[in-house]
Amino acid sequence: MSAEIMEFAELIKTPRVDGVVLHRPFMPTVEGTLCLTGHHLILSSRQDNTEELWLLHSNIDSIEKRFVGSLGHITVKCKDLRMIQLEITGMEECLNIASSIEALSTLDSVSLMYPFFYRPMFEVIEDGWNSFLPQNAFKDLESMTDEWRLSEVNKDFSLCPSYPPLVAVPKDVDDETLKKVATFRHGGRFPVLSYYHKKNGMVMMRAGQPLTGTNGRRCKEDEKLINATLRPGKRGYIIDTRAINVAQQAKARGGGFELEANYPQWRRIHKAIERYNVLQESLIKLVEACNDQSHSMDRWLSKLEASNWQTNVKEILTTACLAAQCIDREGASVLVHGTEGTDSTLQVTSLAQIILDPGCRTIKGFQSLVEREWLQAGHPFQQRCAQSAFSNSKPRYEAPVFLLFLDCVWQILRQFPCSFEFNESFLVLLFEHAYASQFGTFLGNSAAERARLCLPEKTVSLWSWVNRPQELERLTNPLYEPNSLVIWPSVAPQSLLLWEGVFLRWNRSSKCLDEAYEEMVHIIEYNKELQTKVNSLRRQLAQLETEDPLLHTP
Amino acid sequence: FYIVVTPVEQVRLLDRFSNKSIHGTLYLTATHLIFVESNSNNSASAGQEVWILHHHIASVEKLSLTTSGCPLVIQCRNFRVVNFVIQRERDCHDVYSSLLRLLRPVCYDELYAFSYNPKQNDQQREEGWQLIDLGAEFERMGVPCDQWQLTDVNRDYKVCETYPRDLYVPVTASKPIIVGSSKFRSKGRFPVLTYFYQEKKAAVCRCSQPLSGFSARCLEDESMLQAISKANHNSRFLYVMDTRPKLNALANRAAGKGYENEDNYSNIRFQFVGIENIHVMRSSLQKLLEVTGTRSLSMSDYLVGLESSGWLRHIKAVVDAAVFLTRAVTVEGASVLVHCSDGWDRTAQVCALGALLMDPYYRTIKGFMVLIEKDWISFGHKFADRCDQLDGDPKEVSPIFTQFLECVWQLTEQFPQAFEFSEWFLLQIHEHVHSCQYGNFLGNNQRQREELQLRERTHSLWAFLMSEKQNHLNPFYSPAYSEAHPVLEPSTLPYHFKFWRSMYHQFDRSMHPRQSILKTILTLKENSRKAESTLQALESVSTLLHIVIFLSFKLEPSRHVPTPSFWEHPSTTKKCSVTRKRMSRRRWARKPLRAQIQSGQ
Repeated sequence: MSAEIMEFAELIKTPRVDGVVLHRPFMPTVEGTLCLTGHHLILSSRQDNTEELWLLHSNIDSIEKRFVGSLGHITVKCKDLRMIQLEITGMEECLNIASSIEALSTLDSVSLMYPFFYRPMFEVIEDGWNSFLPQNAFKDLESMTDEWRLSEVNKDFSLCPSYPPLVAVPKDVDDETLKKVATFRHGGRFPVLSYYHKKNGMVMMRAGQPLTGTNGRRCKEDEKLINATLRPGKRGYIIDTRAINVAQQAKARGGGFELEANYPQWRRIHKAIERYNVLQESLIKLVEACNDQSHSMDRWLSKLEASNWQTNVKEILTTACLAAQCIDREGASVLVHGTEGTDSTLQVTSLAQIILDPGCRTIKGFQSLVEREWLQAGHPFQQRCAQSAFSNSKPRYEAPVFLLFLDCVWQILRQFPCSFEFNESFLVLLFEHAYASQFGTFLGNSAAERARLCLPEKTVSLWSWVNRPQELERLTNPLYEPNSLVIWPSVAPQSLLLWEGVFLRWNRSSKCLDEAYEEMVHIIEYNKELQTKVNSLRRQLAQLETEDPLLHTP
Repeated sequence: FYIVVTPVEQVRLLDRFSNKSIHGTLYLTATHLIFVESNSNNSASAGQEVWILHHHIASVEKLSLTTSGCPLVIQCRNFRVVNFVIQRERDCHDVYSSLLRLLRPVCYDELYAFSYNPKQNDQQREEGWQLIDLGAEFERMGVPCDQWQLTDVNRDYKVCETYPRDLYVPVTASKPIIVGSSKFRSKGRFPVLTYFYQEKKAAVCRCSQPLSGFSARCLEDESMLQAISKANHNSRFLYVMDTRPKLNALANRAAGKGYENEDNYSNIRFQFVGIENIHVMRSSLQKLLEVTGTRSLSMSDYLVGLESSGWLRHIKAVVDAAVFLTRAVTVEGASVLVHCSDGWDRTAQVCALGALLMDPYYRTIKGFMVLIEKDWISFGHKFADRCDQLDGDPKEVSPIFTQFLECVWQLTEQFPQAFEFSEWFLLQIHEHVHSCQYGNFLGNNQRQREELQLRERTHSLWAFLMSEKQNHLNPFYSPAYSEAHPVLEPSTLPYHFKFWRSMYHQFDRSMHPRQSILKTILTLKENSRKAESTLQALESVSTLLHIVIFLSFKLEPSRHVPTPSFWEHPSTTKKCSVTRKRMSRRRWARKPLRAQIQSGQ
């Protein structure tokens, strides 16, 4: 550990500078001392604690510096899309600070990340690392059906490096078959259970693309596995998240899709969900549009359109609705995959569950969904969230796949404001922590990597922090009324909105909206209070009447 | 009193955006087109009903025959679009031609307002009309005062027939000045006061364009502006806001009209704000509706269409102008004279929206009615022409008032606690501006309304909306907010302007959130109100019971006292009958109590 601290010390050329002026959106300007530590940029006015800034280096996406005379201006652009300005007198100091921030915010080694150094200042009531174990989730499934089993075939991550040690598969399919299927699916991602629809027993599975290649390779075990999930005489749907031409092109690289001839019981549907750098570009363009200060309406709308962000939201939601429709309305089982099965596939399977399963709309249920369908399912968070919208470097693996998922959830939340136990703040919080966090939850790219990093032993889980009464209160939707129905969102463009809570969060004052929200909370609480009073008074009076025989005489 | 003309059976009503449809029967009455869903055999609930007022119908189109029948597309001014498929072409043709006759009234007497009878007596109707009193409104603003007075120059509509009778002008503006100025202004609409910002003694005045041509001037008009300027001691100059784009104003000069030459008027600051004319607005809305009416619309086409329609750009332009006006008055303390060409479209939008930003009163339900009555109805916004009440010139139709309502909605989105009313109120007003069910918006100006004897022959919308006030309340409204922020300062960055789905898709239910926060919170507030009175009733019963028990204990102190210490069973029947009598007097409280206790157990 001390060697690592030495390493930080080498990177910090100037640990502190006095007389630094800080400008933040919608907050008063602060003058104070700037300190750089291994993980934080701190600015303190030393007068009032409330005016302190604590910024994780890992939250910094990029910085820009410019000079007016000897006065240096550093613009810090954060992954949560906030922009702050620092004014530092003295060219040398400014350059030192800038290069230190740059170095500290781009550390490559995961083990140097803040979660490994963070010690919680709160009492852990429930260790989040143990909150959502696959065994427990499977117990729920067992209570509904006996057609599935938990397989340990991947317990040492050798079959599929991006899968967890335990996966649910059809009972009749043995581990030997799974091993064969794994060789036929991209990244070894053989079809596993994603969701069981209690209402009609239909299932949703996910996988990597089949490795058919140009000569149409087939795998009997693969066919057997997925056919095992079908009821006699029933057809299933394969939702390929790629457009047909993209799927065709994948053949040349050894990938492909299920041919009708080999999967006669399945109907394949192609949808076009964008991936990787196309999405990253989309995010960059959207944020650029939101920060455009020109007053032109045409420019705003055309930039918003050109970013394609809303198109992506619509496409993902549409595909999720399709999957949910196949299961709930058509009474058919569904297999979802794209190429790797770690990105668009997970967007679709997790959103379909939000639509179908009321359990996923509670705070705990949503955490469990993120844990199952994103973390355990091997979405490479570390790679996808390494950079955000302000990065100057060429994106490699970065893509706002998870942010798009959260945006889609927000759209459904907007359309069903009373059906979710959590509010928008919870979604914003997950966005922030996926990109930069003191918690270990989103570190690493897969369950295997997390095991290797010993995250449960060495870091604190985000869920440990979230699942405390004071945090839960902040994240709870006061309008929530449990709704056991399937909720079908509208995907008409007129029904989908820009997620202002994330994309315009630092561009427009939210004071009026926050106050209105407070008022809403107040109205709801006042109503509850009154109802309680009325009920207790009624009880008292009822008691009085029973105690008093006279009042019973007619 | 509806006359059934033709019940047409076996009609299908298609959903505009999905493949769903329902079967039913079509009825045509003197005032409405009614579709009643046939009772489907499995549902116990009554079939859906669609009532369309003839006045709401903007166009009827009969499409060519298909295998399933003859399609009839009806577009309404309240943005309802219905697609019927009528099985027999003959029936379709009958409906079509009847509608064409019915929806083109040629004289005012044919309008619904003259036959609409909400079962009120004359006194109630009269009271409805007295709800809004503009004289009282000017008094509220602090007018007349030492600088502003009521003039009787237009008592008989002699000077300007599109203005109201009562007008407020600077005390120094003599009759010759007024008359002279009116001759130099388009349609005689000379500068008059519309809003007085008491705190800074700054005035918002309105008029039409000057007939300046390339070089003409008018000394009386110059004196008029001088008088307005001088009436405000806080500022040495007067803003003149021409709400048109400069190009339009320049073009008007060739027709002998134009704008004020700063050289001729002392101490004015002239400013163009660039709001487009009624024709641009009409086609903009048309384009917008075309885009949003597209089936399976892609996000890209939607956003491109939204942009190319220019609609939100126009909305922003109006709000920008109102913000400019508000700053000039409240921050600089300057008086402002607002005009466009005739001073009844853009001028009405900007003056009304500016006043709404400056004065919290206009953000209340009553105040908003007053505002519309003042800046729109009394100052002669041509509702009849703009809303196509009679079969008139289609080039005169334009959604100017709809734009105003939308601007207000955009503000309610930014300031959710500043308005007493919710968007339902705006939607209701919009509905009735076009329904011709109430007299308020009929005709083009006050003079015409008097001739039509609307106060005697029709009912007032304001009275109806007031009686339904509960439905239009914004549950988040906070008078304290308005006290702390009397002047609203909205941001007009483009992303603050959103597509108003609740207006333009108000009848397309599938597009809206399935659960409404507004509705939920309103219900909760209503529940709380009921709970409060229940609580009050329970508390008084409880107090009473305690008294009864306490008294009986006093009468028989020897008995053992249970907890709480003074509770005891009365046993003297005589005493009891007294207390019971007392209790029966409070039966209103006791009755629900009994019921509640029983239901609670």
